Amino acid sequence: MRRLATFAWRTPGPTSIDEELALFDDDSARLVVRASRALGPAIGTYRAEPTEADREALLAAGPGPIEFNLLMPPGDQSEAALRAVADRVSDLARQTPEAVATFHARGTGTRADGMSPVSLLVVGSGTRPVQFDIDPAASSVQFSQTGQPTGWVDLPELPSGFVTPDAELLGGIRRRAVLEPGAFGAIAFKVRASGATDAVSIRVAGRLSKALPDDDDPGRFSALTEATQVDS
Amino acid sequence: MPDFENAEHAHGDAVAVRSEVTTRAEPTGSPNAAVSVQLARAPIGADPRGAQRRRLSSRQVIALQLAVGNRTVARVVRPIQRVAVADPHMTETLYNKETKGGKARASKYALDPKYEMTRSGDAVTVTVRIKFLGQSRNAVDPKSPGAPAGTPELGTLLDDPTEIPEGDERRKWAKETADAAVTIWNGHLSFVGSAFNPLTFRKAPERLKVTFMSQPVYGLNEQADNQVIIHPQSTVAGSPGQPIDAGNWYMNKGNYGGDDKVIAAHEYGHLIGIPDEYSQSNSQLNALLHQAAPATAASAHEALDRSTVELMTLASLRAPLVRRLKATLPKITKAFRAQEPLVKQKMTAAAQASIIAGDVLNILRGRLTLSTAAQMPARLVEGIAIETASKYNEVLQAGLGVDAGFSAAALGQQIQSTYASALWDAQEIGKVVAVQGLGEVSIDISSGVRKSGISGGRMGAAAGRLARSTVGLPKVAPDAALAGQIAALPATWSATGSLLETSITAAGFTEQMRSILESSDAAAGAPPPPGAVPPRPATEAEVFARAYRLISNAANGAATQLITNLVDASISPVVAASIADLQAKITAQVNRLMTTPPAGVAALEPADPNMKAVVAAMKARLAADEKATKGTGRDPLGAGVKAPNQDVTYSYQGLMGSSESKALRADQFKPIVDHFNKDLVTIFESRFKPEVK
Repeated sequence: MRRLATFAWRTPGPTSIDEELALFDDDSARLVVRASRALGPAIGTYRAEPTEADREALLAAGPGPIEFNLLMPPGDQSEAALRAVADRVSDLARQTPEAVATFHARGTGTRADGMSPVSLLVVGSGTRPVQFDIDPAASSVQFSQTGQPTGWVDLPELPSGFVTPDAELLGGIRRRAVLEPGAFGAIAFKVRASGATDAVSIRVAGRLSKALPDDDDPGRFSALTEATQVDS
Repeated sequence: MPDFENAEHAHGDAVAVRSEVTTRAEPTGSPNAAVSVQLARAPIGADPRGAQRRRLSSRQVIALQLAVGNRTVARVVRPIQRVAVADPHMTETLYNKETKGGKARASKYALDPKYEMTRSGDAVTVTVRIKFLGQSRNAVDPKSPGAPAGTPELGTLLDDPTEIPEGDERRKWAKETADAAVTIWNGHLSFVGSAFNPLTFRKAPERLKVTFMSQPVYGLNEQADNQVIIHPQSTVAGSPGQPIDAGNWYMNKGNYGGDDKVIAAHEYGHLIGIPDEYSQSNSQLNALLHQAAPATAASAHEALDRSTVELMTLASLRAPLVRRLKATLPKITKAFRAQEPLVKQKMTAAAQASIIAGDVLNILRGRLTLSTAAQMPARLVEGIAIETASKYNEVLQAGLGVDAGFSAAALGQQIQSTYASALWDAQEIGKVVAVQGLGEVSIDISSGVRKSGISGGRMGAAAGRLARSTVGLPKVAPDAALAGQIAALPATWSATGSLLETSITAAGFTEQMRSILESSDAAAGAPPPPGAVPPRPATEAEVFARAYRLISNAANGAATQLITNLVDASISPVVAASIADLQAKITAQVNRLMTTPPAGVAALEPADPNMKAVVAAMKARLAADEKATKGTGRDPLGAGVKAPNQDVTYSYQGLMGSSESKALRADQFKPIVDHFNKDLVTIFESRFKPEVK
């Protein structure tokens, strides 16, 4: 399969958005989300079959990669039109996961010793496995109280990767996780909550592998889970 | 969004210390008064990751007062400190508008960063009280035909700001957007330093996590750090006179592609004094160098070019290097798999010697109870848990977990991924360079350069030969190149004190079992995806089967993870050394080509012809970039001249600079940490430095 055109949406840190739309010669388009525009909890590959008109408009813009600046309006009408088509195809793709991992956080209160048990959960979706590694050193646990952030801590050293409810090791720590569609697992750990807390979220960073048919290179990803109420 | 590329801080910071919310503890009363205050710093022996700090007793406080005086003690034992920060007026020049003649026109933007910084023990909070108001902007171009006399500049705020009424959708939107914006900033910044403990006379490191907050204010006369106008849905951002900037947020972002919270996060950065940056061509950056530091611009530009060619060379070699390693993986994995019997023996011994930790048993007991029909006696569940847990070393003898760790596919993937990631990390680290007179700049290499090493031609052939000599051949062993070095590692595992001995231990196995069962418990406790609810076992046999499955899976997973860790610990140092050696060779060749006078080349060691060819090709590509844009200044498109595609672009590095790097630069937080060091440290503490991740 040959890639015909590439479009990217990127921003500098701290948002670090990284989305890439690639058109292939089998009439498909694939959207790779390494850090979503909505700063959401899902990473991976989505797939779409764009309309002929949209496909032609994107191919006419050349092989690229063409990068859109999300922090500035389009420079002129032609860029605005191109961006609108690329956005439309991306939105279409987002409805069809191909190999997607969605992360969730779960906190279960604070124990007498001041440590809070927290879980990072992941669910696979799509039609093929999503492959990734977690980078704990670049990840963090964030605490909030009534919607306001109250502090954050580093993700601790994690001895092992994601584990299913049946205790099967899915990987993800020093060993690539290969998550089948529908599979889900968790990593449990404990952190010292900073400040008063009623909700917890996790910034998950790592490397996403085999996102595109022609790209075997593990690329950095970052996802932010929804803040979830801490169970008492 | 303003471009703060020319942002300047005036000399001298203005910091107004606000009265503290919590009174400083100054124990001047009776010696018997119940004074208990926190030490400002953690004492020696305290858990540096955040254990509770020791509290001073009244006697200790008094003893300290006698020793060093009341005022000094008061500076040591402040439970909460708070300071209002007001940076000097900032201005920046932004070329984001066009004249009728098609030239960029500079506009001046102003910013007055203000915020409050609070320290409570080891936590630092930066809070911006943002006053959200309503106000309209001029959308009429004063130079347009028919514009009334005296029409102000496009975008000028008109009349006076007004309070957004309670219940107005702008209030809710503003609060939600600001809350979401600060979330993005959190989890990155720490202040690192050290403190001298006067009780123990020793110094201990300190790491303070910094949390950013925003506090919405809506009253016209309420005190606030900064003011933001919230423009309603009816006003479209990006239309004439309506650019989004730090002081103007839009509910209707029009053609701005970014999410509301992304834009707001960016603008929040301006409120705490962090400016924007631009991506530029080599020639544009050269112009910026001459503008910023003309005296050193020439030498700085030469140094930057050398760094660029080094990075281009490394980037172009990555693909052929990884491809070459992939070709050698059968040789490498065969060497690792040859040690599988030894590892299996060691793993079984570790499992037999490990003990079932109480909490592991508790997890298992809890899981079985939850998934058991109510009529099953608790004693039976207990018996099944104990019986099953005692059998997991038998599970290991079947060797499934060890086999999984030693599968050729798993090993190959892990080794290739380690090398590919390490090469990528070397590029990411190398892309940020310090440029004399300007600061740090990131170098972004195009995908064309990255693919040039596998794109054929003379350069591709040279890169392929270089990769072969660096990584080695698929079959020949022993081999001094990388593949041979990695393949030789497993043979060292049989030695006394080897990595195998220190990695596969009873304690390590127990820890893995605990970790996997805890994670399994967490997964079981989470709402499963639709259709994934496991059946609830009811019979004794089903419970036993479930218990056995949990223990078997956990034991196999523990073995697999321990082997993964063993392989990682074995190969990582070898990979790192190989990449460091390659980088040194690239640097040497770049220096030979770009700094050694022709007369001196003969005296040097003979160059590797392949390295010479690759470096020369990259130098030529960069020279073509420079030649194509030479003399076009800072804004070639605005000046109506061509801006040819570039192989390399540069970003004047900064937290909010345009860059592919995911790293944040600590020095952008220098003004914030300077305020902290000036007002919020105790006399026993060193100056803190910002650290980001």
